[in-house]
Amino acid sequence: MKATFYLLLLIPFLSFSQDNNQGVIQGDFNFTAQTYYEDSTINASLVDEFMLMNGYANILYSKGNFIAGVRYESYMNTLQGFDTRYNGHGIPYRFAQYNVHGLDITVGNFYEQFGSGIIFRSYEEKNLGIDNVMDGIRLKYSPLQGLTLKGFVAKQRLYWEHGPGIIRGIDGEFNLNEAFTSLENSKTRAIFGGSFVSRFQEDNNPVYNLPENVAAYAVRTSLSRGKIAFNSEYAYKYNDPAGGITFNNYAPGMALTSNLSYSQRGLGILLEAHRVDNMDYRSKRGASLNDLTLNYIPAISKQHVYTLAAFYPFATQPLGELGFQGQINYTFKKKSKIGGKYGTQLTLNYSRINALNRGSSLLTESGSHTPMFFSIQGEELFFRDFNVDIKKKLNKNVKINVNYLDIIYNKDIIEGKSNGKDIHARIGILEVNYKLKPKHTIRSEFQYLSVDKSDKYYQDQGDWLMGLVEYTISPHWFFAFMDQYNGGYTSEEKTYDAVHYLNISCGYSKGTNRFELGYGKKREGIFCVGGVCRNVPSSNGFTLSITSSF
Amino acid sequence: MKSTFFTLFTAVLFITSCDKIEKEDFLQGDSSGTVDTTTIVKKVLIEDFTGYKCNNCPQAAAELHAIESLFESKIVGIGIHVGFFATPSGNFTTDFRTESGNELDQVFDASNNGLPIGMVNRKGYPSAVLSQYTEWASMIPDILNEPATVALKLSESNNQITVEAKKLTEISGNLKLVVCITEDNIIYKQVDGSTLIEDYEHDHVLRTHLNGTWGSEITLDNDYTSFNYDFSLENDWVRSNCNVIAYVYNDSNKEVLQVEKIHLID
Repeated sequence: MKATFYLLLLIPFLSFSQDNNQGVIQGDFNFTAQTYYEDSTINASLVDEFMLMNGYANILYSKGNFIAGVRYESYMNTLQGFDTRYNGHGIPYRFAQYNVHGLDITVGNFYEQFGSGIIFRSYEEKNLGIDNVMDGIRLKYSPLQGLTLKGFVAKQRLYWEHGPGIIRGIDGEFNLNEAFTSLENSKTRAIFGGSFVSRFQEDNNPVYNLPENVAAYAVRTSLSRGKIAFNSEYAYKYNDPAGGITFNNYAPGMALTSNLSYSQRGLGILLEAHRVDNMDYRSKRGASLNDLTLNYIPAISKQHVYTLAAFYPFATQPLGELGFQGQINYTFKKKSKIGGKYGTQLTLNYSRINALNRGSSLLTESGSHTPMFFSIQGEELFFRDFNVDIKKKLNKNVKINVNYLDIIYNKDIIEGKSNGKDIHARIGILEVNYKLKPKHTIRSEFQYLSVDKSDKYYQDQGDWLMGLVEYTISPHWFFAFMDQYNGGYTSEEKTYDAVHYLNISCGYSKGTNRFELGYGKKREGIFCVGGVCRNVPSSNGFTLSITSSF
Repeated sequence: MKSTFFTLFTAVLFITSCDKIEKEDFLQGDSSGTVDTTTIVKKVLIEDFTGYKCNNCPQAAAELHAIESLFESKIVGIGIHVGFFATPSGNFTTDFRTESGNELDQVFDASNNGLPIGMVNRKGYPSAVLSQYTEWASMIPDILNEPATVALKLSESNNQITVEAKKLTEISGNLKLVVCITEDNIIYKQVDGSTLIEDYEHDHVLRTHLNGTWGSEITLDNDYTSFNYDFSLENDWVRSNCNVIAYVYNDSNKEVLQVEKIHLID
């Protein structure tokens, strides 16, 4: 069966090989390998395989309205921190797609998103080991100018298998300005959309009647006029109990996200809010971790990039949360007092996320709870982040970036712990880019993370200090040295010594090929999604990564 | 015309693809746990990989108890403490992990997949052997309806276990017999949600295997054959809380064909 499919994919190569226009073949390749040594100072252990690796290659063929592709993936065995169910190799992704008279047909694998993804988003994020690609049939059609319809019937990838649910989805989007010629040049832009998704999964529960068809729908709008833009999406999910015979929650799910933005030269303002209740939607009842997620609700907090700033990251709690975010970007003009010769960019960001009023919606045979729509006072805080980011070019050769963050992180909720206290961390970061001479740049980072030592807060692993120096000789070489230093701490009556996590790496790129070799210690972390956790152990070893494309 | 078609199509999809269940229908009228007990039934082994620092594991333990009471004596549960969440640290000083439990964890790749997780009769080996606790109950009625292929009897005297086993049909593949000890009612710490319970009751705790993790190869007849195993309990195990569990599995697909349990008495 599979072999037949691959043969079919080859047909265009064979039949068009005589053509003058033979189509285009493109591809990309990615390989990462790491060795693992025993290191008692950071509690890292040897792995039986000595070396682990993740790798993949995409090959795409396109000709006119036709495109087909495959992806080969190899995990022999999977790098630590990734799900070991990836172990193995094969072609989990293959598709053929063509477009004729406005009808776009895809068979095989596809990624798709309806609206903001609030009820459906199929995507991949190789760095996180997420790939919930669909496998089935997808159609796209535009019956009227400005109206786009999409529909699919498919199953979802689960490592090398598929989830049990059959997923059906349909989405329509209507662009007013495209539909009516009179509005084509209007200053006001308006898009309306609606989507519907349903999962079928058999019910064999011996005690409960579980819904075999679980549906969700969403409506959305995107409006803008001049400098102001507004986006909003509302979603409703019907009863979706997890299964089992001890407890089943039949409460429906609901999510509402909205954002309002204003932008003009030198100034941007963003206000954002969302309320999520019982919106964990998967292609298998009660699935956990990153498995088989059907929807995606982005976190309503700034995603930090610097290492210590990303130490305590927040992820949307799909079971229930109420969150707000506000951000102001302001550029102090060139030659002004604060702006200096080159101008100064300032970003202020604040976000706050708390539990819904006395928890998320609940509906069981013996009781129910519907949280108030809006409630902040007295609710359990999940996360709060206030941060400032200043970017400034001092002179022709020096650019600096200063960051300050003040974070409250509810480790118990986010990581499923029982410390009973939140973590309060303050983080300061300075990045300096210095251009030595043409093509030679030194970039350095100094980062400090300090946890609040008062009794009110949990001190986790105490304070961290980090330094990084990166020397780039463009376009071919870079060398980097990094040290993360933990000053030692006491946890559960055990004292941990101070430890340096040293890393050195160098990279070489030529054309579209890039090689990077590194050696160092990586720190341990807990990786949790939806209350189920996996421990990502610390490691000590060499890392080799190669990327390439053609 | 075209839009009418699409509207109709959407409406049909919408109406047909959603089941809303009313509150009075959440529970089924009578439970389907009733099985003919006049013949030898196939009992079901549920192995629950767990850890005292795993915050969702008490939910799986509660589900296992509920399944045991729903299907009465037809379910045998083993709680296997494994992985990071079962590793002593800080105030968690007692170690409930066992050598054989660690080996099971490694071969079935359990704790790597996040705890709690389990196996029902080790069905679905290798790719689909692990299942979440919310799936266990749904898997059981079908297994109970399968005809039993092996009969097991268990008895104990003077710290010697006697397992009597016979085949009820012809079975292809090598059979293996495993005998192990579990302990109930161990009062110790457990993380539950975001609270720490100091005096949580740990049941089904795997203590040891008497004949290795993978057991002994056996050949069965149409009449009962006896297998004897001596055992001794460690000092901190309470005899009256201990159980002896024996199960026979098919080595070719690891599936458990029959399981039996007795409770030790003082």
